[in-house]
Amino acid sequence: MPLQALRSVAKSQNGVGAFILQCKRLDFHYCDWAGSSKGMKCAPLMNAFARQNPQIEITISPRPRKHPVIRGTYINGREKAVCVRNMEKEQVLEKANLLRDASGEKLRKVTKPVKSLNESVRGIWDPFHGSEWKI
Amino acid sequence: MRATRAAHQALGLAALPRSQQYVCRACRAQAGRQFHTSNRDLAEVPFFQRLKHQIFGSKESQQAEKSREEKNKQRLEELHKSSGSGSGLGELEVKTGRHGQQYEVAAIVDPSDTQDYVPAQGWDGLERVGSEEWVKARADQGEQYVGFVPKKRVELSNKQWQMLLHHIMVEILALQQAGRAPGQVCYPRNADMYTWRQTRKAAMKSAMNRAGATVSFSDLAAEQFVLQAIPESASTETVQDQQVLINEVEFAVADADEALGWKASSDLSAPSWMDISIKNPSVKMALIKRTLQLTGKRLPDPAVSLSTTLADLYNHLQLKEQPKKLAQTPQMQRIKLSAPNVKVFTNRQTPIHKEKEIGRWKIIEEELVRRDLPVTGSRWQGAKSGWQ
Repeated sequence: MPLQALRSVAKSQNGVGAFILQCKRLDFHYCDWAGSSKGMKCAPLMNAFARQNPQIEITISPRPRKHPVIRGTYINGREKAVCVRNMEKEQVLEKANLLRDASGEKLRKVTKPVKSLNESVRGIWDPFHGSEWKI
Repeated sequence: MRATRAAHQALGLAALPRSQQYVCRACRAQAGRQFHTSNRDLAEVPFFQRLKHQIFGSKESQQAEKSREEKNKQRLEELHKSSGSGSGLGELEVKTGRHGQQYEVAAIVDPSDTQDYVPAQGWDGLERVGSEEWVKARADQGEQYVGFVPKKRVELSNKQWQMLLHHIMVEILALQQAGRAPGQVCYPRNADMYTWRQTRKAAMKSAMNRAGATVSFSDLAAEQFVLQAIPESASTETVQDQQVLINEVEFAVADADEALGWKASSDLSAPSWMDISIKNPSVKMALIKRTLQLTGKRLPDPAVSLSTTLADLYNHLQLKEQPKKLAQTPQMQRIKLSAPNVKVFTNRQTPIHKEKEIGRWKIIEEELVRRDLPVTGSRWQGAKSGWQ
């Protein structure tokens, strides 16, 4: 019986190899006494969020006499912190999702439709390239 | 503008639902001061005129002063005449007041006539007015005040509150059943007549119509002892012995041994025997007064007026559970089991904790010590910028 080659063909993914979440850690800080942490101190909400995002390291610690804060740490080394004082639990969850989905980069206005780190296939333009002009 | 605002306030007050049943006196006075519809410009006497009268006196007051001086002169002349005739000296005029009270009018002394008057050269021998001792001597003549409420407040646990309330309530109901006034429970007692053994064995039962309660003792002798221990009358001169009151509380809340067969429930909810109505004002008053006398614990008026059963009163008296911290709640304790990526800390996490977690702190510490720099605190580099 002749040996047959594998028939599978590599799928085209437009250059995308794998997705890595940029947020690696989220710190939840709250105050046990102050009322502004009311929305933050919702244990079931935190439990659900942690279970939905197992790839993120989550720490929950009190910060007495301060407003509640969610601090995100990203793989580019940057940090982002959002104050969630006086927010309801749904609003706090919204902010946690925002930090989870953020890239960690500074917020900039995007004006170009395409942005890539790859070099141009055509190479850098050179006046000596291309067809020769004969006079 | 002012009238409009007042009307607006009145409408607002009328439209508001009456959520509070009790408004304190200070708040009522404040509201009364703020809410007035009269215009200051419409007053009979203008404001500054009134102020002037208060400071310098009005025409009427000046006239009254003049007439008073004239009367004094007349009386002096009369005094001279009477002293000349030799009668009426040393007798003070007696007047009758509006409410029938009699008082002596102070004698008028003319300093120019008094020959034996010697002006004082110093303060020796003169009556001193105004020192702390003088105030004390005038106020109570050195009498020691003994208050109803004990100086030292007694701190009781929830179980002990249950036992004390049981003890007091049994005594009050026993008095009521015997046809005596419940208020007699607060009368001073003898040092050797403690009733805690008898009251602890007694059982209370709510009446059929839930309007009152009855108490049943283990034997008739116990009931008689309780009634004998509480005196039927108390003279105002009898002083309550503080040590007797302290002993009363200590015995009443001492741990129940198994032989007595009475046990207090340890949880926060009131036990079933506390569903006794205290709507009877004399019973409620006696209960609160005796509690105050024994423990010094005061209850706010709304709490007293809203309490209809003994359980309600106990709920106000018992120690409130401290609010639990988020990290100590059972849900947060269990979160680690369902989500292993979560760490829950009970204390604040500092940058030092983060350094320790990755094992870099000992190196930082060593280097700081070598450079003679402060190890802890917020002065080291990176404390505020955070951990990278």
